[in-house]
Amino acid sequence: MDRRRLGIVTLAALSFLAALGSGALGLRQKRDLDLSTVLHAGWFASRTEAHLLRFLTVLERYVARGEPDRESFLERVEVLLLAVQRLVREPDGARIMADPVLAELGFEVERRLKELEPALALLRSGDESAYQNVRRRLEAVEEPLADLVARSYDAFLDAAASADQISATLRSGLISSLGLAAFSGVLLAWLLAKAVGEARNARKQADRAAFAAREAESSLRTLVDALPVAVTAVDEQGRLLLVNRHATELTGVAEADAIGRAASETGLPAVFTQTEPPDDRGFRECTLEAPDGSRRHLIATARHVIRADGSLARRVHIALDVTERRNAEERLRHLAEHDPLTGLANRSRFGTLLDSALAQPGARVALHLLDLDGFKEVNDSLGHPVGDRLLLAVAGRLVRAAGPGAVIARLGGDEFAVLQNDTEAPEAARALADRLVASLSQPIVLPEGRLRVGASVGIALAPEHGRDVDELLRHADIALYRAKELARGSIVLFSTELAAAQVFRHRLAGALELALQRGSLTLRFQPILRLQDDRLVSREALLRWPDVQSPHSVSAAQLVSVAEETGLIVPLTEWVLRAACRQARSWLALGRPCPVAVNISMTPPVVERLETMVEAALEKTGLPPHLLELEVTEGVLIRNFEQTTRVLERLRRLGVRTALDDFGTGYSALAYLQRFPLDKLKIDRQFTNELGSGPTALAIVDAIVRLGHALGLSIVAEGVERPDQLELLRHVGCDEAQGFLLGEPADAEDILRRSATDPSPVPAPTRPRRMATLGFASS
Amino acid sequence: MRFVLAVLTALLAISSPLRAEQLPQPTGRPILEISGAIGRTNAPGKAVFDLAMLESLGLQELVTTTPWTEGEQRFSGVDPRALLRAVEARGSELEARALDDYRVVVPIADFERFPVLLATRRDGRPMAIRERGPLWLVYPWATHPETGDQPYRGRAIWQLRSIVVR
Repeated sequence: MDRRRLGIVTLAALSFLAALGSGALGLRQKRDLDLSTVLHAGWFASRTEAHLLRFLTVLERYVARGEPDRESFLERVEVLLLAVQRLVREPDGARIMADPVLAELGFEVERRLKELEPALALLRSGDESAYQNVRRRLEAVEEPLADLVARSYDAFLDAAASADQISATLRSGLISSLGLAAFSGVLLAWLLAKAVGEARNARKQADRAAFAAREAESSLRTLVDALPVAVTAVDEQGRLLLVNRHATELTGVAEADAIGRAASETGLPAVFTQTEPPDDRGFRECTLEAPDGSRRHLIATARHVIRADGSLARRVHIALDVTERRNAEERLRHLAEHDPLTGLANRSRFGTLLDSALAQPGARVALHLLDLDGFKEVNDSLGHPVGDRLLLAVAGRLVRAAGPGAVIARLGGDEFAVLQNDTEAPEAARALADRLVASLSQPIVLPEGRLRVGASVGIALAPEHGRDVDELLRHADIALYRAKELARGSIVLFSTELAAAQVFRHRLAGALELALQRGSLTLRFQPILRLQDDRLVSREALLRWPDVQSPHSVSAAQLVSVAEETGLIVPLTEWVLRAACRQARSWLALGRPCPVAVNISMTPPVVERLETMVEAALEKTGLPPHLLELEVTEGVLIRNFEQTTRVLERLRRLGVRTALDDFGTGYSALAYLQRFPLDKLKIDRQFTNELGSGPTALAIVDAIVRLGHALGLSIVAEGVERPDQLELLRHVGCDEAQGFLLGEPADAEDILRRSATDPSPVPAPTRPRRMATLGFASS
Repeated sequence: MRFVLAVLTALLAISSPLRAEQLPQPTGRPILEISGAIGRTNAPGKAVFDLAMLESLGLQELVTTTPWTEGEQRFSGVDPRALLRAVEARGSELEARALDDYRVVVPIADFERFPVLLATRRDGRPMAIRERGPLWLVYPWATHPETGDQPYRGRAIWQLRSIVVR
C-alpha cells in the first residue's frame, strides 16, 4: 500500500471519527442548551456523588495496599465535605434544597457526614484502626446521597420546557450522527478491504505489501475497536469479516470464533445479520439481551458495498446502543403522563386510560373521584412542603387500599381519581370507596405531627351513568360535590336525582343573580332578648328568598353555597349589609335604637373585601358602628385564621361587634376562641333543642355559658321554642336568647306596626358584640 | 505595595543560593504545582510550593464578601503576579486545576484589572480544604461586583492544586 493509499485510509478513518464526534457533540451541545438550567441542580448533586464514589475508591485502595498516603486520603474527605456543604447550605444547592423530599435527603447526608468527624479526628492523629469506622460511616452516606442524586434528576427534568421537545431533539440528533457514522463506516470498510486485497496482489513487493497491509489493518482495527458503536461486516456470501470490540461486548460473540463463518451460525442477533433493508428512515430500532442479562436498546443500520458491476461486495452493520438515552426518554414520557409529586398517573394519562377502558366491549367501569377534606387548611397553616408530604402519604394509602386492579391518578391539588374495572355491581364500587375512605381514617404521621385528613368520594358507573370520559367525569363530579356537602368521609353514588339537583342549583344561581339585579330580595328580622329582663337587645337580619314558586325547596345552606360557588356571595353580602344597616338606622331615627346582627360567610373573597363593605354600609346609612354585629361560623376560624382575625380585629376597633355563630357544632377549638376577637358566643340550636330531654344537653350548655363568661363573652341561645328550655337557659345564666318562642322573624314593616306595643330596647351593652353570615328566615 | 513586593522578591532571589536558576525546595507538604511556560523550577519541569514558600512572597490582605458565603471575610495571601514573577512565567493564561478536579482557564490580564488575591488564610488562619482552602483565588467581589458574574465567577477557583502557565 503506498503513501497515498495510507493517506486516504487515514482520512477516511478521521472522517469516521469526526462524524461520530461532531454528531455526538452537536447533540450534546443542543441538549445542554435545552437542559442546562434544568439539570444544573441534578448535575451538581451527581458531582457530589462522584466525590463520594471517588473517595470510597481511594479508601479501598488505602485499606488494601496502604496507598495513597493518609494526607491524600484525608484531603479527599475534605473535598467531599465542601461538596456536601455547598449542596445543603450554599446558593448552588438551593434548587435542590427547595424540594422538601430532596432537602430531607440533603440534611440526612450532612448529618451522617458529621457523624464521621470523631473517627476522622482519630485518623488524623494517626490511629489507623479508625479506618474501618470511617469506611462504615461513609457507606452510610452513600445511600441517601445516591438517592438524592437520582431524585434530583427526576425532580428537575420535569421542569424542562417540554418532554416531547427534548425527546425530539434527542432523536433527531441521534439519527443524524448515526447516519454520518454509517457513511464513514462504509467508506472505512471499503478502504480496508481494498488495501488488504491490493497488498496481497502485489506479489513483486510481497513482504512490503504484507507489512503495509498489516499496518493498515492494525491501525484501522484499533480505530474500529475504539468506536462507541457496534460494527460488523459480512462478505457477499454472508460470512463474517469483522466483529468489533463493542459488538462483542454487546452480543457476547467473539470475533475469533465468528470470522469466516456464516453470520447465522455465529449466534449474532438478527440485527447484525439481516439482509432486508431497514425502514424508510434507514434505521431500525430493536432490543437485545446483552451477555450480562441487561436489556439493550439499539438503533441499527446496514450499508451495502456494491462492486463496479453492481453486485454486492459486502455489507456493514452498525448499531448504536441507546439504552441510556431511551431510558431518559422513557423517564420523560413518564413525567409527561404522571404527577411529579406522587408518581401517580396525571389527568391526561388518566383520561386516556379511562377512555380505553370504556372502549372495551361490554365494559363495566366505576369511576371514583376523591377529594381530601381539610387539605387546604393543612396547606394554609403548615405550608406547601407539609402539604406535599401529606399528599405523598395519602397517595401511598390510596394505592394500597385500591389494590392491584385499580388505576389511581392525581388530577390536581387534593383531587384523586380511581378507575375500577369490571365492576359487577354498585356494591363493589361502594366497597372500594369504603376502603379508600377508611384508608385515610387513621392520622398521617409526619415530622410536623399527626395530621388528620379525610376524603369524600363521588362515584359514577359506566355504562349506567355515562359512556364517555367527559360524561362519566362530570357525573362523578356531581356525586363528589354532593358528598362534600354532606359530611366528611361521605360516599355518594351518582343518580339522576343528583343531576336534577345540580340543574336546580344552576337555576338557583341564575335566580339569585336576577334577584340581586332587580332588588327583589328582602330581609326579615328576628328579635334577640335579654333573659334577665326579657328586653330586646338586638335583631338578627335574615335573608328572605322571593321565589314564591319554590319557597320550600331553597334552604339557607343551599343558597349560600350557590352564592359562594358562583361568586355572588360578594354582592349578596354587600346588599345584606347595606339593607340591614339602613334598617337599623331607621330604628335609630325613630328613637328606638336596636343593634342589627348580620351573618357573614367568611369565604376568601368576602374576607378580602369585608372591611371595605362594612365601612361603606356604615357610611352610606350613617349607622353608628356599635349598632352593627357580624356573625361568623366556626368553620371560618380554622380556614384563613390569621386573615380572618386581622379583619375582624380591625372592624372591632371601629366599634363593630362580633359573634361566633352555631357554637358547638364545628371544631370548637378553644385555642381559637382565646385568640379570636369576639364579643358573643351563640349556642347552636341543636343544644337548645335537646334541653329538657336529658341531663347531657344541659351540662353542655352550662359548660359553654361558664366558658364564655370566663372568656368575657356574652352567651346567646338560638332556637328557643319551649318555655322549659327558656327556664333552663335562665337557670344556667345564659345572657340572651332567640327563637320562635321569643319572636319570629318579621318584616321591617310589621316590626314598625307592632313597635308601639313592643318593649323598649335596652341600650346596647358595653361588652357583647356580634358578627354575621347570611342568615335565613328559617330561624 | 508593588514596590515592596518587588523588593521582597528581589531579596528572596538574592538569598537563594541557586538564584535565578532554581527555586528552593519545599520543606513542608506541597500544596501547589506550577508547570508549563515557566523559567524557574525546583523539580523536573515544575515548581512546587509549600505554604511557607508561597507566603514568603509577601502576604497581602483583602476584605470582601463572597458569592458563596455570608458576611465579610478577611483573606490574606499572595499577589498572583508576584507568584508568576517568582516562577518567571511567560504566558497569557493559567490553566488552573483544583483538588475536586474543577478546571478553569484564568487570563493573567485579570490580575491587572482587579486586585485578585491567591488567598492562603482567612482571618489569619490557613484554610482547611472544606473551607475552600488551602488556596483560593479570591476576586474583590465587594469592590468590583462584576467579578461576581461569569466569566469571573468561575475563575475564582478554590482548593487550587496546580497551574499550567501557557
